[in-house]
Amino acid sequence: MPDFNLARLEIPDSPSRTGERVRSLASGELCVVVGPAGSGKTWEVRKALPDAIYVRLQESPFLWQGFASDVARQVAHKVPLKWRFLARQDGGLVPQALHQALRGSALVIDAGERLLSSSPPSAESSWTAPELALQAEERLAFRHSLGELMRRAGVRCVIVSRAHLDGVRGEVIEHRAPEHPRFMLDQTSSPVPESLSAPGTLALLRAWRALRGSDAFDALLHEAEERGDVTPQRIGVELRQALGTGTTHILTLVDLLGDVERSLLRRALPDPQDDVEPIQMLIDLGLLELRGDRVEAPSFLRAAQVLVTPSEVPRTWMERLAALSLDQITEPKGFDLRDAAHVFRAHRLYVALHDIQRAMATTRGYAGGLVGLAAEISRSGDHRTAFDCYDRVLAMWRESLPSDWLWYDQALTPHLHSYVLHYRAYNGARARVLSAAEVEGGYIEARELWLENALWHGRLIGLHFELGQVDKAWAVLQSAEGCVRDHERRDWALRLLPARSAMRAGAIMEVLALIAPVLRDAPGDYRTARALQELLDALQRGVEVDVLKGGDARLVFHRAQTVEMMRLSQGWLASLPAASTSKQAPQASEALVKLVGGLADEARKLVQTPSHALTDVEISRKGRLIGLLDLLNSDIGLSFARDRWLVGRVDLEQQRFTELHRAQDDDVLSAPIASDLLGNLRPGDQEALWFARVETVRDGSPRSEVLELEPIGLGRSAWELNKELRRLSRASGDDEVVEDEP
Amino acid sequence: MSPDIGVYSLDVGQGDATIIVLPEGAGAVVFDCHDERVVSQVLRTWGIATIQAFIISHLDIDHIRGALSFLRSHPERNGRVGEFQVRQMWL
Repeated sequence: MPDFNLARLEIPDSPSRTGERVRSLASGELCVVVGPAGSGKTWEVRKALPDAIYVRLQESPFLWQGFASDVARQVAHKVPLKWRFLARQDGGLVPQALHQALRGSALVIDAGERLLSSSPPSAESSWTAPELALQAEERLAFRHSLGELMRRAGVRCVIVSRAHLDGVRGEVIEHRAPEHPRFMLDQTSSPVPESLSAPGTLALLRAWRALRGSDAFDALLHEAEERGDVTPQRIGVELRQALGTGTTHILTLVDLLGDVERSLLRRALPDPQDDVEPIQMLIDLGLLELRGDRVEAPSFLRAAQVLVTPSEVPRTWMERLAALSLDQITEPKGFDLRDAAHVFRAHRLYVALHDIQRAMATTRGYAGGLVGLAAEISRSGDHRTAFDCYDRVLAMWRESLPSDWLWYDQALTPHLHSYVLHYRAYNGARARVLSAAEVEGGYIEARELWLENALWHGRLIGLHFELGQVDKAWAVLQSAEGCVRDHERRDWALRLLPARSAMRAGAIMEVLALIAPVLRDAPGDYRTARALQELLDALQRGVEVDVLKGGDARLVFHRAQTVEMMRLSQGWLASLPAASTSKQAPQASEALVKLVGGLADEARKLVQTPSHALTDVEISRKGRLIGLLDLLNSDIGLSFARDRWLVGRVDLEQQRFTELHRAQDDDVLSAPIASDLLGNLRPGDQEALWFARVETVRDGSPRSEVLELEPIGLGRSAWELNKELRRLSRASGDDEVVEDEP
Repeated sequence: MSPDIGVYSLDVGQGDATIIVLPEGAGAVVFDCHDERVVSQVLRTWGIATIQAFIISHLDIDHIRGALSFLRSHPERNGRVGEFQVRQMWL
């Protein structure tokens, strides 16, 4: 490897305020050392506490488990082997493990800024708002718990962070960076250009120079001095090309795991084709850090985009490494603390591999990991597998003993529980393994546990619209607006997301009502504005509807028709092209009401007039509307009988009334007989013909049991009919006849 | 009020039902009634309440099946006003 003289100017060894304060920490005391990146705060703290257990926090969602796993590996010799670490509710047991393991020790937690919430959701982010909220919640619980935990355990704890950590109960030490640059290039003795001062940049440059030679390096440095725009990302991309695919895969694999035994990693990788041993080469280049028997990937590799995504790492490598890790387990059926790190590593690999069965098998009660896996699978579109995964999480919780849940879990569980319930229902609906009622039940249960979550309310509202339960949808929206605080995505979740569902259900009036306030306020949020525009575009292209409601009228079509809603410079235009009808009004809902009302009035007037009284144009128009509208089921002001009389026989055994048989007709009407009428019937009544009154739907079909029965009389049917017809004809023309006589 | 007379053969499946709409709103004549609900609905929609004559051509079931229940449903008797008034019944 070419020699490159990069000299680090050590911070003077004189006692600093940070070092002094850290050294003087009392048992059970916690402090946070805060300072900018590269200011030497970690170096200072580790120098002050050389025997401390050192933990570097990983990224969420493995932050808590990674922390526990890291500590466990270092303190395994201090605690009983049978400690139930990572068993059942690992999140709850880890504090107990720490309590025992760290008694009397100092603990340094580096990269403490990762305890803070990550950036808010963006259009590009794959995390949804609830997922980010969960991660933030986990970190908040972690921050709140640390001070108390250290006090109980009698541990001296130092958190090293680039940012202030709210919620951590402990003294804050502001660490100041030395005023002179810490790194110098000894060849030029000139300070490093400002644009190269980002963390890890010099390490990247050093590796790049080693691979590409000094000429390229000098050119790059010159460019940096000239333009000041050579970023770590640019160096990282060039370094990735220089390293080659296999080497970046190794770096990615180590980064995924945080750290790994060097010997284990070497066994998992294929044999090198030449004499260059890639792990050693990466250590020499400074791109892997060797700590004891383990290698770690420095955090700047990810920021500099040297790494690829875990899915690009060869599956065989990850599978072999997972298997080798599990081979390390000393007590497969027990809960050896030292085994936890191996199991956890295998679990992370199986999650990365999307191997759900093995990921489940290595959860060891780690529901959080399974939730992360399920979320990723759900996003990939495999809803059935994601549903199984969430179902398994719920089963794990059901099997757990509540007494095992410590305060940490109690703070975390309601929202995580809600998240799992919601997405179990969400994926169950998309995989079609849950009924609509089960999905609704899941959404409601999840909402009760997380009332301020706008997305939960929005999905429930959307479900109600899709099921045609409009009243329920509005009721949920009303209650949601009372309990979801105002934030930039509130309208998107509560109104625009359900509007998409209403659109799919063809409920245009509901869509218009949902978007009206958002349209009025002109959203500032990018996703909200985009969703609104998509809805407006869809309305303009036209929405397929089976039923169109507006005001008191309701049009039912024989088959789906397209309704277009166009936003004009002033007002809205609602159109039904199939009927060649359009109406304009200042508000969208007004235009739609005018369209529906106008068509209803026109259809009613034409239908109420016998065709011989219409003009040819009117007859043509009437035919068109009759061909379009289901007049029987539309509400256009026509009246229908609510009951009718049938002629037929009673069947006492079946307790039903059946209409008189109609030759060559299959649609013989039948209805159950009301119980109070049955008591008055005798076996001989089955031979007679009866009038029966039933309530009917609009097409005349019975919708109730028989409410009245009147005998026609015994005898042959035709003669009976003839006789009754004559009797009734007399009755119709003579008010004096007492009709109720049998 | 149309000055013309209108004759409508209703679609009632395997049977007959004919309505003759009389000029100047004088009501209608119903000729056979296989299905009372269709006849009733047409008369209701057209706003015809007076049936000048209800004519049954013969007693085959496909001509009279709905007549009995029609008359049972809409008689005017003892002050109980039905939806339709049948002035004459011809058999």
